Amino acid sequence: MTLEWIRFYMTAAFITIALSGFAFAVAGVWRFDYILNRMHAGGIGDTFSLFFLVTGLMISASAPIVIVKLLLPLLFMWFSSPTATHFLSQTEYYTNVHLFEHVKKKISGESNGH
Amino acid sequence: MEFVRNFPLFTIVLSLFSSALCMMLSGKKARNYTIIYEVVLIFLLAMTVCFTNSNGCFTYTMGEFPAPWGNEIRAGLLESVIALIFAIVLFSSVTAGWHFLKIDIDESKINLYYSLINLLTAALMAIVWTNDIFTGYVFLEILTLTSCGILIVREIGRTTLAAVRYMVLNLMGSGLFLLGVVLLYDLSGHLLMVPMKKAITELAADPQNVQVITLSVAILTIGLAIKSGLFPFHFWMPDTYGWATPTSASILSSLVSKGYIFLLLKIYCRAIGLEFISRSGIEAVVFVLAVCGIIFGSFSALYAGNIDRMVAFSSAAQTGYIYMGLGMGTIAGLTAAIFQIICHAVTKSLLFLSTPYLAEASSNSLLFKKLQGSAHREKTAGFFFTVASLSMVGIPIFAGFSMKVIFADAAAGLGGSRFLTVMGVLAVSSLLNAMYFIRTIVRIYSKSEREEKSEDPDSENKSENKSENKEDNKEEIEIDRFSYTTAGIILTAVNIFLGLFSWITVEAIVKGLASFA
Amino acid sequence: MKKIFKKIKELSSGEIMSNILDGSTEPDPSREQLKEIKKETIKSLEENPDFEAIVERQRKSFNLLYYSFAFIGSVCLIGVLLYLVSMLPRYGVENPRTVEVVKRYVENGLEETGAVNIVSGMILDYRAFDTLGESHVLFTALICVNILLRIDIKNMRSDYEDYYTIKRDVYYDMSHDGVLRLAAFVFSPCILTFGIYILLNGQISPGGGFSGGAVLGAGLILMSAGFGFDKVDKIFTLKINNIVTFSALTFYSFAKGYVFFTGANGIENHIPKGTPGAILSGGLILPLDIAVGIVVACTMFGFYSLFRRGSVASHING
Repeated sequence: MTLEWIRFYMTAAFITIALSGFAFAVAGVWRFDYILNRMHAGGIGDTFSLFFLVTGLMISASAPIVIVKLLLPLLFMWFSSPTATHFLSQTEYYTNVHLFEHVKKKISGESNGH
Repeated sequence: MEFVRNFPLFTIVLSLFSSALCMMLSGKKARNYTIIYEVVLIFLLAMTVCFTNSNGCFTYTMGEFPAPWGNEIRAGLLESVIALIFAIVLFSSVTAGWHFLKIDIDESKINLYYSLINLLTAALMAIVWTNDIFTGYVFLEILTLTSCGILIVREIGRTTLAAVRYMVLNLMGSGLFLLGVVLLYDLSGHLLMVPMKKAITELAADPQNVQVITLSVAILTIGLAIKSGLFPFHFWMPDTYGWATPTSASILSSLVSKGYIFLLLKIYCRAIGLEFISRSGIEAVVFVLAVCGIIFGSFSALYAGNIDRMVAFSSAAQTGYIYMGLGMGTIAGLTAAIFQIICHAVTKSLLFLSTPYLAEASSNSLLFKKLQGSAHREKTAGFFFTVASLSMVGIPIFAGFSMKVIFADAAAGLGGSRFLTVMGVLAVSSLLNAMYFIRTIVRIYSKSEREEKSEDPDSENKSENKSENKEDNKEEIEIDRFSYTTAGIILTAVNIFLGLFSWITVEAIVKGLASFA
Repeated sequence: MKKIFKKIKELSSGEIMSNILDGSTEPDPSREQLKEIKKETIKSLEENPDFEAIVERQRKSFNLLYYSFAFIGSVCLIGVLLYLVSMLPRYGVENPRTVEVVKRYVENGLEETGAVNIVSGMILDYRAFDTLGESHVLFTALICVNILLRIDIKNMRSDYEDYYTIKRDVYYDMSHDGVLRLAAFVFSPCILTFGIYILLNGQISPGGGFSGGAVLGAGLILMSAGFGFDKVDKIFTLKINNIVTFSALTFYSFAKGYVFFTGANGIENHIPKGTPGAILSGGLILPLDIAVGIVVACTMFGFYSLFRRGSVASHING
C-alpha cells in the first residue's frame, strides 16, 4: 500500500480513539452526580483525547508549518485546562462544608446525590 | 443646506453623549444636567417641526454612501411631531418624579438612573427617525435593556419579580422581531425600508410567495405586539407599571410602548406597504385582537383593588384602541391611531404621576379603601388625576373626546360589520371607562368618617416620619411640589390643546402621513 | 359572567354611593386583630388533614398542563418555522435582487473604505450607525449590572449581607495557589498581547473591536484571579475605569457624529484612508476599534469583579 493509504488509516485510527475518549468524557460528565467525579471524567477529554486528535491531524498535515501551528493550541490547552480543573477542584474542596460526609457515605457503600 | 437638517442627528448623538456624561457626574448634578438637556431637546425638536412643516420631509444620509449601501434617517412632519410629544412627556416625567426617586433609589445609584434615561431618550429618537429596519432592531434592543433597567432600580421584592417577568417577555418579543427582520432581509435583499418595499411588492405579485411574506410579517408583528401589550400579551402590564417608581411607570407606559407601536407602523407603511397588509389577513387579526383587548382590559380594570393596577389595565385597553386604528386599514384609521398615541402618551403619564402623591397622603397605601378623601389632603394631585381621568372617559373639553370622535369618523369610511364593531366597542368601552374612573374620582373626593377616628395604627408612625422630614428639608419638598405642579400644568395644557383644537393636530398628522410612506 | 351581570345590576339599582364606597367607611382591623386572624387561618389550614393532598394534586395538574402546553407550543413554532424556511425563494447570484447591495460591498469595499477585511469595513464604515448602537448596548448592560450588584460602603443594604460578601471573597481568594500563579505568570502576557494584536489588526485580518476586547478582558480576569485583586487594583482603579469608559464612548459618538455630519452635508471629511494592508489604514476604523475594544475589556473585567466582590475596583478607593 502506498504512503498515502498508511497516513490515511493512521489518522483515522488516532481520530477514532480520540472521539471515543471524548464520548467517555461526555458520558461521565453527564452521568456522575458529584463534581469531583465529573471533573475526573472531563479531564480525560482535555488531555488524552486532545493529544490523539492533534497527533492524528499532524500525521495528515499538508506542510511542515501546519505541524508547528497545530502544536501551539495543544500546548496552550494542556496548560490551561488542567489549571482550570485544579482551580475548580480546590474551590470545591475549600468551600464545600459537607465534603467529608459525602466521602464517608461513598466509603460506606451508600450512593447519594450530592 | 440648512442647519436645521442636522437636528435629528444631534438629538441622537447628544443623548448618547449625555448618558456617558451622567455616569461620571454625581447624583443631583446628573439630574440637573438631564433636565437642562431635555429643555434643549424640546427646543431642537420644535424647530424641526417648523422646518418640516414648511419644507416637507427630508432624508439624511448617515455617512458618505447613498441609500441602499449606507444608512440613512428620515425626518418628516409626522416623526417630528411625535418626537416633540415624546420629549415633552419625558421632561414632565423626569421633573415630576424626583420626589419619589429620592425615596426609592440608593443615593449612589441616582446618576446611573439618569444615564439610563438618557440612553432611553437616544433609543426613542433613533426609532422615530430611522429609515432602516436593522437600525430599528439595534435601538429596540437598547430600549428593551434600559426599560428593564429603570424598573430594576427600585430594589424591593415585588419590583424585581415584575422586572424579571417583563424582561423575559420583552426578550421573547425581541427574538421574534429579529426573526422577522432576518426573514424579510432574506426575501428582499435590502435592509433599508424604501428599497425593501419595492422588492417585496415585486415578490408579492407572484402568488407562491404571498404566504411566506405573510408569515414573516406575522412573526414580526407578534414580536412587537408582545412588547407593546396587545390583547393576549398584556398580562405583564399591571405588575410592571404598578410597582415601578413613578418616573419609570410614566415613561414605560407612555413612551416605551408607543415607540414600539410607532416602529410597527413605520414598517407597515414604509417597508411592506399597506395594500399587502390588507390583502393578507394580518389586518383582520390585529383588528380582532385589538377589540378583545379593549373589552378585556376594561373589564379587568373594574375588578382591580389597587389604583395603580386599575390604571395599568386601562393602559391595556387604550393600547387596544391604537391597534384597532391600525387594523382598520384606511388612512383615516391610521390618523386616528396616531392621534390616540399622542393623546394617550400625554394622559397616562399624568395619571401615573398623580397617584403616588395621593397614596403618600393616605398612609403610603395604594388600596382603594385607604385612598378615600385623599384629594382633599392633596389638592393638586387630586385635580390632575381628575383632569386625566375625565380625558380617559371622554368628556368633551379633553383629548379623549376628540380621540373617540376621530375614531368614529374613521369608522364611517368602513363598511358593514367593521363599522358596527367599532361603534359598539367605542360605546361599551366608554361606559366601562366611566364606571371605573368616575367611581375613583368620587371615592377620592368624598370625605370619610375614618378621618376623625384616630385609632389607625399606621398614622402614629407616619406622623413621626413626617415631622422629621418637615424639620429637615421643607424647602426641598416645596421645590418638588413646584416642579410637579409645573409638569402637571404642561401636560394638562397639551391635553386641553388636543381636545379643543384637535383639527390642528389632525391636519398635521394627515400631512405627515401623506409623505410617510 | 354571572358576577359581571350582578355587578351591573347592583350599580344600576340606585344605591350607587354605598356601592362606590364599599367597605371604606369601616375602620381597619387593628394590629392585634390582624395577628389573631392570621393565627386562626394557619391553625385551620394545619388541622385540615386533606390540605396537603389537595395542594399536591393541584401542583401536579398545573405541572402537567404547563409542560404539555410548552411542548405543544414549541412543536408548533418549530413546524411553522421549518415550513416557512422550506418555501423561501433562492438566495444568491441566481436571484440578482437579493445580492444587489452585497455586490458593491464585495467589489468596491477595499477602495472605498481602505480596509482589507470587508466585514470590518462594512460594520464600521458603510453601516456605522448600527455599530454605534451596539457598543452602547454593552454600556447599558454594564450600568444595569452595576445597579444590581454594586456595594457601596456608604449604603450597605444590611450590614451582614454586604460586609460578609467582601470578607468571604478575601477568605476564599485563590491567588496564593502555586499552579494558578504559574499559569497566570506564563499566559497573561501572551493573552494580553494577543488581544492587542486582534484589536490593531481589525481592518487587515479577521478581528476587530469586539473580539479583541473580549480577549483583553479575559487576560485581565486571569491576572486578577492569579495574582489577586490587590495587585490588579493598583493599575485598574475606579477612576481609571470611569475615565476610560467615558472617553472611549464619547470619542466614538463624536467621531461618528462628525463623519455623519460631513457626509450628509457634502463636506469633505479629511480622514486619510492609508494604504490597504498597513496597520494605519482604513480611515477611522483603527481608532474606533481601539475605543470599542477598551470599552468591551473594561466591561468584561467589570462584570467579573462585580460578581465576585461587588465593586469594579477596590473598596478602599471607593
